[in-house]
Amino acid sequence: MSESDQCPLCERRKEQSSEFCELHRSALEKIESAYSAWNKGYGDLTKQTYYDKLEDLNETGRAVKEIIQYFKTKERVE
Amino acid sequence: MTTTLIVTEKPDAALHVAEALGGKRKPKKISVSGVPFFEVADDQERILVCSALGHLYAVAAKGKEARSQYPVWDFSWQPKNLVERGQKRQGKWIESIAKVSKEADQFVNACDYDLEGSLIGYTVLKYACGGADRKARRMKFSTLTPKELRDAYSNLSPELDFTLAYAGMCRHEVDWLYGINLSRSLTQSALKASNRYSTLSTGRVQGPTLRFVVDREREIQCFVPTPYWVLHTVIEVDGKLVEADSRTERFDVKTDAEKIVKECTNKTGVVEKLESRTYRLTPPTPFDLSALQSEAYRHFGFTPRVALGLAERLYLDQLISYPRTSSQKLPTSINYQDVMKGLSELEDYRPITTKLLTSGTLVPNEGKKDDPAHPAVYPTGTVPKRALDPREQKIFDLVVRRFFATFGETASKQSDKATIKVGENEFYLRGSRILEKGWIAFYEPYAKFDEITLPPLREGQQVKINEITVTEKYTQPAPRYNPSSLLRSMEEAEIGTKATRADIVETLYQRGYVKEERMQATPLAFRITEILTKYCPKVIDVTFTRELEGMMDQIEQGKETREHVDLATVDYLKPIIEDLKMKESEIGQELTATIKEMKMAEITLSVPCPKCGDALVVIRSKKSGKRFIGCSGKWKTDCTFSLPVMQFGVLTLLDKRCPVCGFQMVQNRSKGRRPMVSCSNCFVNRLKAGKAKAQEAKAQEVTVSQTLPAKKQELP
Repeated sequence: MSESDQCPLCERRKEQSSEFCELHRSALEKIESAYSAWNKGYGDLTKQTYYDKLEDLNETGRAVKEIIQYFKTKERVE
Repeated sequence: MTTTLIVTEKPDAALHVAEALGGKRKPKKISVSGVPFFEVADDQERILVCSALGHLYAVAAKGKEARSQYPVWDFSWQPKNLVERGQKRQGKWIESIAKVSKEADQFVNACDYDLEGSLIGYTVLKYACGGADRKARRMKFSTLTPKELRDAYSNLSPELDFTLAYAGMCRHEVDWLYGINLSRSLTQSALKASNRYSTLSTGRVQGPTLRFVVDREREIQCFVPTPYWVLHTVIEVDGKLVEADSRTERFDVKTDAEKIVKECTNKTGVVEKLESRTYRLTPPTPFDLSALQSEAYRHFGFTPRVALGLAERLYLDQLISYPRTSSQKLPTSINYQDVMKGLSELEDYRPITTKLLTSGTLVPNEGKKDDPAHPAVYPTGTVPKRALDPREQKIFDLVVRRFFATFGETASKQSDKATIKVGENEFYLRGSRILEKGWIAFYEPYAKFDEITLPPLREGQQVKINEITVTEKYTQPAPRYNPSSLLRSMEEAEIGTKATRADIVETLYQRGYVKEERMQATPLAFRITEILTKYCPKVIDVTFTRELEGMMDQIEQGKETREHVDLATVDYLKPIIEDLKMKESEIGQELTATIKEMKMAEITLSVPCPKCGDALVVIRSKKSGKRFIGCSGKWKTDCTFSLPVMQFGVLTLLDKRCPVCGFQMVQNRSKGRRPMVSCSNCFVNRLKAGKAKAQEAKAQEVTVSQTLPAKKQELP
């Protein structure tokens, strides 16, 4: 498998329509869909704070934390 | 004079059968090439009782082919010692039974009355006793008590339970076809790609079971918690502080909770309504195997396999009935009174048996599940003749108290609720107490109910909000499986049998697919499941496995043939395995990286070397062959830090840290033993402390001896 076919976060193959493998793509989807509940709960929450909070929580899944760290390193956080 | 050969499943059972049939005559023990036989004889009949050692025959490939070759579709039943490693004893057993069988003209299968037992007896009679299966009869019993064994021998079935034996054979054959072909395919793919051998396995039941664990792990790894808020409210009633629940249990918006806090802080509320409800708590149903395993895990932490092993020992000691049962029923034929009278010899149970025996008619609260072969697990009423080990004692006590509880009266519980109004906001004070203990009294300490007594309250009474705060909480991911809950899921999915499920769970640990008691799927488990999902999804889909289970059940009922199910399996598997063989190198590539990573992770500790900070790894000494924890910096910085580890069993590095020193803990799993968790660092510290103490004591001894008179006789 060439490097361009590989998920940037693990050794799995990227999905055709995604930047990530199936596991990390699923984690990314969960992060995106949960943001509205967090934003509503706190009233006003920036995505940066949202990611910081998720990263600190023990309950957050490993794949979710890997995605957040990846975004942070790539400075793609809005 | 006729000679009858009775085949039992285990040596202990052979002795019990011989003793029961001998009556007052003590059985004579005969040794044939070291294999024990028990003989009882009268004027008309000579009975020889022998035992198998579990399965003496196994499915194996026909002909002499390489262990790596696949696909394999031709098989036959062969002596286990010829086809499996470490089974020499079985060979000796087969030879001795074959020799003695020549003296017999009648044959009886007295192995446990279930699928495996019927098969064990059938194969011994067919292959070792020269086709005696055709004339053999079947002895059926659920306990090894003398009375039941004598009754069973007087009421032998005229022929063997062939359908049960064929269903058992078919199960082994189908599992072998799956296991040998899929496992060899995975192992060979990895070997060809990496040139390193790793045992990889999957199977008809193992694959779907592993998928349960992997799917749960995936869910946990992708879990995003969401916040919610709860109120912590304390109400003061006549100087007593009581915790209250808010009408809204959880708030999805923080400000909604804060608004209530603002409205209620330091306010006075009024008791608006007092309600009480009574609930009935029906007695538990008798134990089937999975309920016993589940309770044993809940109360003692025993894995299903350990619980089954302990229960089987109690069965062989005549203390409880046959544990591999699906039944939740206790037929009257077991004679409840006799069982209770027997148990009243034990002081601990006497108050309960006295109460039950004087309570009138005994009627157990039976469950729906039934098993045509055996009743639910129950104590036989026989008192232990030897001191049970603590773990056996626990299972025995659990079975006995559960048996009592099923005859107990319905318990009742009262729930109290007081509604407190603070402006528009409502709070509830809740209490509960047991009104009638009923069966709970018999099942203690295994049945526990927390009682909360509310202070006396009257409607219209004023109470003060003493404290009200908001607490932030988060939703939790689904819990990881433990061996007991995984077993339950297998049962719900109708895969495997009560006899095999516990072993399959254990295999997942042995193959390195899961680790920790809360079963965590390893990267290898992910990779295997991903490969199977990608290349042969049907193999890990429970649907076909369940279909096969149904077909095998039909063999048991005489509605399906073993040959037909075997052929259907081959037809189903052939294209899958051929396809896998074509994609061997592709699969191998996918496996190699994970295996390498896993092997490295398996031996690398997460704590750094305390001397040089480099990684610590488990190393095996080339010189002594012994393993130990060493510093990987040895080759760079010459660091010589090392710690010992246990030399036996499978070593797993746990995520757990030692509560004393914080070092990473290790677990040893070996067959037939409880997993041992230990800290190598503390072990060394204890050794050092022990040595220091010994040296100190020695030094003191020297000082004392120097001050003592030189000769003993000089002492006063």
